[in-house]
Amino acid sequence: MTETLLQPDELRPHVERANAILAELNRILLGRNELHRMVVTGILARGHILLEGVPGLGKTALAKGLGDVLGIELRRVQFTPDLMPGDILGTNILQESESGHRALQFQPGPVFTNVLLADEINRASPKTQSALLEAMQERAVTLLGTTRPLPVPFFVMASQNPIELEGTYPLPEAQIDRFLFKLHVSHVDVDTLEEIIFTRRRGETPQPQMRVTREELLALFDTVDRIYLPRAVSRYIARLVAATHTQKYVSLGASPRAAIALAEAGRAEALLSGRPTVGFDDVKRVAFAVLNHRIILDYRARLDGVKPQQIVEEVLASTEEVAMSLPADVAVQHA
Amino acid sequence: MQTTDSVAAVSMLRRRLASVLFARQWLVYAAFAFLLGGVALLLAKRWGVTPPLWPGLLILALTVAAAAWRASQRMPSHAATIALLDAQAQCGGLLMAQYAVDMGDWRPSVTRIPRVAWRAKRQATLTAMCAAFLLVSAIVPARATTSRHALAIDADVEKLESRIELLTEENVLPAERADAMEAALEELKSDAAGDDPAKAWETLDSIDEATMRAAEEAAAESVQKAAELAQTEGTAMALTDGGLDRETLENAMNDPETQKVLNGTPLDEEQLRKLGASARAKKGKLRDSLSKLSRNGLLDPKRLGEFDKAGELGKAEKLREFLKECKGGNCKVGDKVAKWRRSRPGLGRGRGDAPMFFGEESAQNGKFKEETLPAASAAQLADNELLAVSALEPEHGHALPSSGGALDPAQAGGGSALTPAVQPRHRGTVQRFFERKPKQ
Repeated sequence: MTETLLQPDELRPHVERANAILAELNRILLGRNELHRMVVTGILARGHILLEGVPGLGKTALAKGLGDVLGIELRRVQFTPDLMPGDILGTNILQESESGHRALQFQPGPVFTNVLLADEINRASPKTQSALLEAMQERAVTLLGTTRPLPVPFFVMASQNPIELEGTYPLPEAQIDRFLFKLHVSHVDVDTLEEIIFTRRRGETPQPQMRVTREELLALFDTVDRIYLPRAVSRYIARLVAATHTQKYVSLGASPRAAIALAEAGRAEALLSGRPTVGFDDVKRVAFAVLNHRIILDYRARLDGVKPQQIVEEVLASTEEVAMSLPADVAVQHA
Repeated sequence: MQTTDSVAAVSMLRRRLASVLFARQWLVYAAFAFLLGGVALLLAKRWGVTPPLWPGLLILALTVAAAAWRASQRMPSHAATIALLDAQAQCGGLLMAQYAVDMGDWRPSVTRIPRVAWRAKRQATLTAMCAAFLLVSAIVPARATTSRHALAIDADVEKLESRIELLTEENVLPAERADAMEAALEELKSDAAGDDPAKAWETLDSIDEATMRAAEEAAAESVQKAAELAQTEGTAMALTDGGLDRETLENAMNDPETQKVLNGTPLDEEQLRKLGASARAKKGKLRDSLSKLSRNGLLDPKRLGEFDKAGELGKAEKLREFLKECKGGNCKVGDKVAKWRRSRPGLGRGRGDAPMFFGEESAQNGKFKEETLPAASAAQLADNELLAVSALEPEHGHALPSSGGALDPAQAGGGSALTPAVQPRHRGTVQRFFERKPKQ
């Protein structure tokens, strides 16, 4: 028993800071508290986030607002079919120095930022989409044999439109698996719409009242790393992932990267909840966002109209937190 | 339940789990034990054995031990219990961390211990049914489970054994036959059971009949001997008490009629006296033997009368008077002895014109008299086959009326006795056949 839990006094300022970020996002963008919580969780877990929703729901505004609150650099790239990898990663340009010497000089692309907003990522060609693979996984860019690290922190927040699919290129499984979360941005309710119209002139978001510094953000990441993950919760995560492989309609279940993502996201969720340990509920809360884009369904699912969301719900419902091997007629219930 | 001690909460949850798992497992084992116990009880009653109580208690204790062992096998690990309590009590991993890392200032608390729910209805019902089966097996009367019970034939067997002993003492039965009969009686006494009483009773009847027959044959033989002994005694007495001179006695001894009585051996006077006394003594012994048989019910008392009658000397005085007058060897003593023999009372077949009788005539003026037929001998039952033994008492007074046999289905005046039933699938065809319209 050499490891020591984060003590309440150590944990408290970080929890307050993380919740302040969340509260600020909720203030700037109305009516999407749960979405904001998942986004903050994803950021704290240092994961990339894929936002899916029809145009006009505020996906870009969310990314911008997050960049403002976090006080880090944000760049936006509008993905189009003719976008080339060099347009994102950067390129070597032949330049002449004052001494007349000509040499290739690297011109960084927009990927060299803290938050890259890849708008409508599915409109770029697979070649361009694949250019982001190394950047997302290794947080580095290799060009002409030279590897250049990306700034810390680095996140990709991508958006895609589930309609108007003509002329788009669905993300390959290898790339979609690199997104920690796939979040569905849905319509807001009438009250929220009313509030937006009444309080936001031309929909402009208010300026953030607080910003966290880069150091504070890195301290939050360190705190997340110190959140304790009990072995029983690790096993629950493993069983959840394994259960996705045995479900009906599933052609390909979640990958080990999904299990790692669940653990990391669970830690971030625990921090937001003010705890130094990951509980089963933390995992359950993030399981949907982690797993829903990592399950590849077969043709029968298409015929029967089954969505990945239903599979995840089924997996969560059928997997007990603790494999007790109790008889079927015996159950432990809330008092 | 309110508690803040997480260790106590884990212990409490484990106790609850252990209790439920034990109870569940015990119900399963108890159901089996009750079922087996019920079957064993029924079998014991079937075989007429009264089982002791301790095997039941031992099996019950074994079920408890087995259930405890099985429950311990199925108990989740300590870590799993902690994880379960953490999940149910929504401790967010703090409880699990308590047992793995240094908690510092963190103090996880469990406000409510989850309860262990068990859907026991099915198992409880099954066990209750098995227990009810055991109870019914315990209280069900033995006669309903078996018809095997010892027949109360001891008194009959003892009576027959004493008879066989008596017959053996009186030399009526040969020793081998008496031994065989006694062996049969011993076997019958140990094996006679209520499931086949007829065989036991038939065997008893057979042995009883054999003893009676042996006694009857001995009695007939004794009567015959008594007649012969009476002739010998009477002749000897007449020849010795008649005052015959030597010559007349020698002539009488050489007479064929006299020799027929005295077995052809010429005897002097002294020898004749001894012969008469010996014949009398033998007759007395035979009389005593027959009296014993009669007292033990082996012989009809009438037989004693017949014996006495056969043993009477009859008109021996007249023969003696006649022989007193014979002097000098000029008497035909043999003729007188033969005449005396014919005049003796005793068994005779009567004259030729005597009316015929068959004995035990009906007292109903020739009308039919119902008589119970004698029991068949046991040997005739050897080929019988026992098809089944009912567990119930036989019902009386429900005899079915006699049926008409093959003519049963025939209606009065209906003609043929053959009226086959029409199968349901043929009714349509038969109906169409009879309802068809005649051809134009």
